[in-house]
Parts: sequence; C-alpha cells; structure tokens
Amino acid sequence: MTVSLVPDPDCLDENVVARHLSGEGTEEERGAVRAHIDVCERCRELLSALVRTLVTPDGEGTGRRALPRGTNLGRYVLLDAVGRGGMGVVYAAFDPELDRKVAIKLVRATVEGAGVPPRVQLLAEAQAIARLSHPNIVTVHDVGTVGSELFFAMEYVKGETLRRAQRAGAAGLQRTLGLYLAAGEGLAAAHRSGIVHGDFKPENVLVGEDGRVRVTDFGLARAVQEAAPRFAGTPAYMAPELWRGQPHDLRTDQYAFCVALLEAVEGKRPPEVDQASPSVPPNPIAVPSHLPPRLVRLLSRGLSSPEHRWPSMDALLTELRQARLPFRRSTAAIAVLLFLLTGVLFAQNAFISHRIHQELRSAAERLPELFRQQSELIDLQVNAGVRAEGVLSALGQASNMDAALGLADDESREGQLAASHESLRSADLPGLKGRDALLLANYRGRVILNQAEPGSFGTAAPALPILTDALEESPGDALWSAATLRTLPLTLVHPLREDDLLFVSSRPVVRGQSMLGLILTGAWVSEGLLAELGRAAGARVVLRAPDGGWAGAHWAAPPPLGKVLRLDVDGESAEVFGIRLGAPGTRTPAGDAYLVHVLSADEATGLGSSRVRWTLLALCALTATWLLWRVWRSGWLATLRTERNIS
Amino acid sequence: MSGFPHAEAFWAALGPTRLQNRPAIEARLEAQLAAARDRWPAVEIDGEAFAAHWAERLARTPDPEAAVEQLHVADLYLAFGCASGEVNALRAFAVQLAAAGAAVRGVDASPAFVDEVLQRLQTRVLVAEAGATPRILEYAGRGSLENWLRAGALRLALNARRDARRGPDPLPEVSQFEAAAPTGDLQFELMRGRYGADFGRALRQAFGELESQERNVLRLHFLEGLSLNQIGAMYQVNKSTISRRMARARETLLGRTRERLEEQLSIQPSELDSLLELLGPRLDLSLASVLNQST
Repeated sequence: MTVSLVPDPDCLDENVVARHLSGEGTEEERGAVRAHIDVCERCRELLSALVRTLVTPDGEGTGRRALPRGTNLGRYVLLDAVGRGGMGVVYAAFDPELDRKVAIKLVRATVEGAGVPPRVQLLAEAQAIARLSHPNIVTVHDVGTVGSELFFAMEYVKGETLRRAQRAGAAGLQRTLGLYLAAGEGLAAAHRSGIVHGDFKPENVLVGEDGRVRVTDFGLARAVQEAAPRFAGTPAYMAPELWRGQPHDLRTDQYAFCVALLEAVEGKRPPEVDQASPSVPPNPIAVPSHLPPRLVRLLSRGLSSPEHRWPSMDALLTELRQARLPFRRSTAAIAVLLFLLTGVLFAQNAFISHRIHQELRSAAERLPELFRQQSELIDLQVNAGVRAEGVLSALGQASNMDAALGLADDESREGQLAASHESLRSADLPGLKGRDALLLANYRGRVILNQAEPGSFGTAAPALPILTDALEESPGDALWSAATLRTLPLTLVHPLREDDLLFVSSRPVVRGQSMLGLILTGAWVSEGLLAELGRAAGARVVLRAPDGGWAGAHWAAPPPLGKVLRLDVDGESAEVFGIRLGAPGTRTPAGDAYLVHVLSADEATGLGSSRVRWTLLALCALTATWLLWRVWRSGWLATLRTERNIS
Repeated sequence: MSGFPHAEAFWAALGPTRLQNRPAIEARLEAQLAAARDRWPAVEIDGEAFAAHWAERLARTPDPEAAVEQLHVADLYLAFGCASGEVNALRAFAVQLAAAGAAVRGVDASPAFVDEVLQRLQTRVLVAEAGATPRILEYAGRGSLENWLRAGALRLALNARRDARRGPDPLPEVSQFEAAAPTGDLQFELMRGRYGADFGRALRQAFGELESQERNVLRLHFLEGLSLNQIGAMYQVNKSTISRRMARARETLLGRTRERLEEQLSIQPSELDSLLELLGPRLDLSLASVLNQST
C-alpha cells in the first residue's frame, strides 16, 4: 500500500479512511479498520477528528475533549468538570486575580456555514447576557472564546438543579410554586432586557444552598445550534411553533416555563417528543383539572397557541403569585383566628373562675371571724346584764343551747330547749335593733326548730319566716343566714338518695351573687317537701350534682373549675360554683355548709362550663391545628423563607 | 463514434481480468465519464491517459466488477486533472481544500495553523517529488475526494499538534481525584471525601482491565466528548450498537470497580452499595478525571 502521510506502514491510508467513512466498505474492510483503530491511537485520533467534523452530534456527547485539571483558560485555572450536557462541559475553576471560585461553561460554538451568525455577533450576544444582573439569574463574570468555543465564567453556585430540588421537594405545591416564581422572576428580568432564554428547563435553573433560585444558560441553546434552529432547545419543552421552524421568542420561553411548571406540580415528565419527525408538532399538552383552578388557568393559557398566551412573563407571574397565595393565606388566617379564639376563651375561663374563687375564698375566710363575733356578742350581753332579765336568761340559755345542739343524744337537751323556748317566746325586746334583733330572732328560730318533731317539717316551718324576717333587717349580710341555717337540716331526717344533693338557702337565688347555703346529702326529701321548703324559705333547691366529687371538696382546696352544681333559678337551670366550709371531715349528720356562687348568664358563658361550649372549644383547637399542619405541610413557610432570601 | 472512446487504453491498462460482458461495462464507463465531464465541464484532460489511470485504480480493487459501479469517477477525474496541472481542475481542488480546512479548525482554530496545514497538504498532494507522480494520483476513487483530502489534512494537523506538544508538558501533574470540586451534594461530598481516592484507583484498575474496544468507546465518549452517533460513524456501526456496547462497558466497569473496592477496603456491602449508588451516576465525570490522568 503506498501511502503519503501515514506515519506507520500499517496505518490506514486516506483512501481507506475516506472509503470507511463514506460507508462504502465491505464488512471485511470495516472490520479491519475497527481492529486497527482499537490498537492504533493515531488512527483513532484521526477518525475521531474526522467524525467530529463530518457527523453532527445528536446531543449525547459534549463535542469536545475533557480538559484536565490545571488547564489555563484565559486567566482562569480549571479544576474538575462538575457537569456536562448537550450544551457543553461545566468546570469548576479558580480565578487567581480575584481569588475566588467560578464555574466555567465551555460551549461548542456553531459550526460555521450559511445563515449562521458570525462569531462576533455571537460574542456580542453573550456579552449582553453577561450584562444581565438579577438575583434570580446566574451572574456571568466573563465571556470569551477559546479556539472555536465560547466560554462563560459564571458565579459558582453551590447547590442543585431545580430538577433535583423539585424532586426532593415532596414538601409540596407551595414550595414548588415558590421556586418557579423565583425562576420566573429571573426569566422576566431577562425578557425585559429583550433577552430570550431559548432553553428553559429545570436543569437550567440552579437552587443554591442559600435557597436562592438562579436561572442559567441564557441564549446558549441558540448560540450553540443556530445552524439547526428547529433543534435548538430541549424537545419536551419546545413550543409547537418551534417545530414549524419559527424562531425562539419571549413566548416560546413562556411555553417552556409552563411545561416545566406543569411537570413540577404533577411530578411527571412532559410527554416525550419524537425528534425523528420534527415536522410534526407535538400534541397540545393537557392541563389536569385536579390542580387548583387558578393554576389550571395559568398553565392552560401559557401552553396555548402563541397569540393566546400571557402577554408577558410579568403577567404570568402576577397570576402565579395569586394562584399560589390566596387560599393558603386565608387558610393560615383562619387557623390563626381559631387559635386566637381558643386562647381568648381559655383566658376568659381562667379569669372568671379565678375571680369567683377569690371572692368565695375571701368570704369564707371572713366566716370564722363572724361566728366568733356572734358568740362574743352573746357573751358580752350575758355578762353585762345590760338588758332585760328575760332576755338575759333567754340568751344565756340559748348560749348553752349552742353546746347542746352538737350533742344530738344529750338527755338534757330536751329540757334546755323547752326552757329557752318559753323564755324566748315571752321575751319582749323592744330596745333591740339591727344585729341584736337579728341575733334574737336567730335564737327564736332555733328554738322553734329544735322543738320541732324530728322528721316533720311542718313543725319546723314556723322558724323559717322568723329567720327570714330577721335576715331582711340586716340586708346584704348573707353570711348570717349560714349561722342561722346550720340548724335547719337537723330537722330533715328523711334520707336523700346517695347521689342527691340538696341545696338550701334562706334567700332567693340570684344569678351573679355569692351566698351561703347548705348542701345536704344522704337525706331523702320528697318532692312535696322540697316545694314546701322552697315556698316557706324562698330557698331554691337543687338535685343531682353533675358529678359527685364536688360535694367532698374542701374550701381550703377549692374544687377544680368547671365542677358545678346545677341550680334551678326561676325555672331555668343556673350553674353554681361552691366551696365547702369548715375543716375536712367535720360533717354535720345531714350535710355541709357551702359558700356558693350562682353564675350569671354572662359568667356561665364566659366560663365555658356547658358541654356545647367545651365542644366548640375543642373543635376550634382541632380545626386550627389541622389547618396549621396543612399550611406547614404545604411548604408555605419554607416558601416565605425562600422569598426572604430571594429579595 | 459511439461507445467508450478510450476502450483500448482502458482494457490494456486493466490487464487480465475476469470481467465479462465488455460491451455492457463499456456502456457504464461511458455514462460515468459523461457524468464526470458534466460535473467538471471546464476541466480538460487527456482522455486516454485518464482511461488508463481509471483502469489501474479498478485493477487494484479486490472486486473490480463491483468497483465499476462504486468508484467515485468524477472525483477521480478531478484528481487526474489536478495531477496534470489543469488550471480549472486546480481551481475546483482549491474549493475542496477549503472544505477540508473546516476539519482542521476543529484541531486548532487559529487561521495561521489552518493556513499552514492546508499549504502543506496542497504541496504534498500536488507537487511531485523527484521521479514520482503527484500524490493526488494515489487517490483511489473509493470514498469521496473531499473525505480523502479531509483525512490527509487532519492527519497533518494532528501530527503538527503532536509535534508542537512535544517538549515540556505545560500542564501540572494531576493525581487528585479526591480534590475534585465540591458539588454541593453533601452526602456525595462525604462519600467522596472518605472513598474518593480508593474509588478513583479502583476505577482506573477496572478500566485497564476492559477490552481495548470497550476502553476506546468509553474514552471517545467521556474524554473526547464524541456523541454516540459520531462513535458509530467511526466504527461504521449503528448508534444503538454503540449505545449497547457502552452500557455493557459501563456495567463491566462498575462491577469490576466494585470487586476491586471489596478486595481493597474493609467496607460493609451495604455501604459499598450506597457508595456505588452515589458515585455510579457520576461515572462519566469520574471517568473523565481518571482518563485525563492516565493518558
């Protein structure tokens, strides 16, 4: 074989190479060439250089030799390749002048030929791209050429592509929309400068570790493949008019943006496009109707025919902002309101019940003092002998009687009672006024009560008007009635049912007031008897505590809030808070004295004691929690963070 | 005169062959010659001498009968014209040479380099050395003249570049796979920090154990950046064949890398799995890095 330029006699001569590449060789000849290039580096190099010029790469190769670490490119020193794609290779590089790391993208420039913009124009276009300055656009520091290639020195973004970010972002629709909103801002900013991206897709958007979203590779698709404008771009994101040979413009960017957005929210890739039949535009993309209606409208319009798309990216973004926020904002607002409401209700509850307890406790603390004063007064009167003898004697006996009352089985009781009854009945006490008169009436009443037949209310009844009258002479001093009524239950020996409570008070029950009364347990009272008692004393009675625990509580440790008796006030049931008086364990045979507070309608509402109210409260809290959980799940908060970083 | 005008010279130059049915062949020859003249109407050559040259080229093919149909007669015609110094042929040649220039630019785009390579190519193929014919007569008419020139131009360009590179290597020694640029993927960084060097070494070993064709295909794709269809054109096989071969090569490579790592590292199989899961998809970048160091 005579060869001209072949360095080695075994190497392929130009005739063989030309025939091989024209595809005319026989299988035997081709086999020989293959075998040769597998061992001969020079011929392999020759053939690879040839196919590089003869065969248009179909997108999977980078079209250039990978540059080793340390290669100088302008003032930059290349580090390693960090990515590669149809567009070219991206290297991390170091800029010694500014002592910083940059990313360098090397881009195959267009194969020169007819209808291709000259390199000067390409470079000018690249420089225009470099002048774009926007937080959502990757900053291009420098543009230049190396041999037949363009290079872009860009800010080095530590992070990931939007494709990865949106996959990792099962965090939801809101985060995705937030990311796309930011990317859209970058795109819109470029559009305002008249720069078309030409290949918008999730791979061309970077999400930095700082959360900032940056669009990259502006205009590169066209710079690279101007010779075949139809194939400039990534098929799946290409608008139908591009398939008909029309050039890229702002509206094809908008289309690509919408395809990417739809892909992101649906989590599915757009349908693959058959690149083999480029003359057939792909079918219109259908927007699934299960998406939020605003988003459906936004996407449908962005994916429609060019003249029906949004007038600009700005218009689209305005819509996107709206599609993203309203329902989320209102959801969040409702949740916050419900939480506030719940909080207010709880606070109100706590405040009101605290106030009632304070009142009851301070009243209860005053009781022993009042009882003491009462007996001191009696003693004083007895000792001083300042009053009529009859009175003195009656009071003296009555004073003794107090001791006797504690001893139900004392044999002397009967006699004492009879004696005091007589003296009190006959006592004429014209000079006694105010408290003294009350005191006397008190004793009279007691005497009558104590003379009454056990178990017979009828005989005890006459005492009640006397007591009531006396109480009326000392209005507002409800506590006195307690002392008075301590004795009353002794007459009621009918057993109550175990779980029944009888509240007896000498005064009409008024909502919103504290009063003393007796809660009787363990005695049975007939309905008729209760009615009689009520009529006679103006007392109100209540049966059945909602739970039995309340009755045993001690005033020193007030019953927990919400444990209330229900009281019948004018045919309605009123709720009552109460505390027991006296030391624990000191129960009279029939019941305990209680200081109670009858809730006014307002207080009852404020306390949330009713079941409806508690249910409402629980519902509010639950709903609010659920809404907040949804808001959190939606990634809206993360979006807010992202936005703060962006702006 | 009808029929092939220089039949005698043709058959004489062809020598003894098994070619049958001379009239039919002569008719084909006549048509091909007419087509060549149509292509280059301004090129005037000595028909008889060309017929002899043509016959010689045919005689050198393994199957002259098939070659009658396959030969690029028009290109052969032009080459013959160039060799005889015909002015219009040389003009047409200049156009083809310019086309080869585009290929040279792929090696080095500086106009000076391209000019020099084309100049040398022109000299080498057109100017006869003492006692010899111009090398353009070696063009066999198999494959286009344009590709023949391209191949020659590229060979010269590659040789020139190789010569220029001989001497001190301007690039610093690189042996730090593990010092590669961070990617921002923390898990990946961690794995690479821990096993990057071992992975690089294992990968290099595994690559060395591949068959030469597998090695070449991977090298062409990942290092030279050729696309699959370009590699397909080099080997004259279908793109899908190359794609399959490449996938198999990758698989073998990863498998062997795994074996090496298992031998060399005391590492839990599960951790090895996640290491390969993480580094595997970036095999192309790793491989480019490894190949750049080993070549």
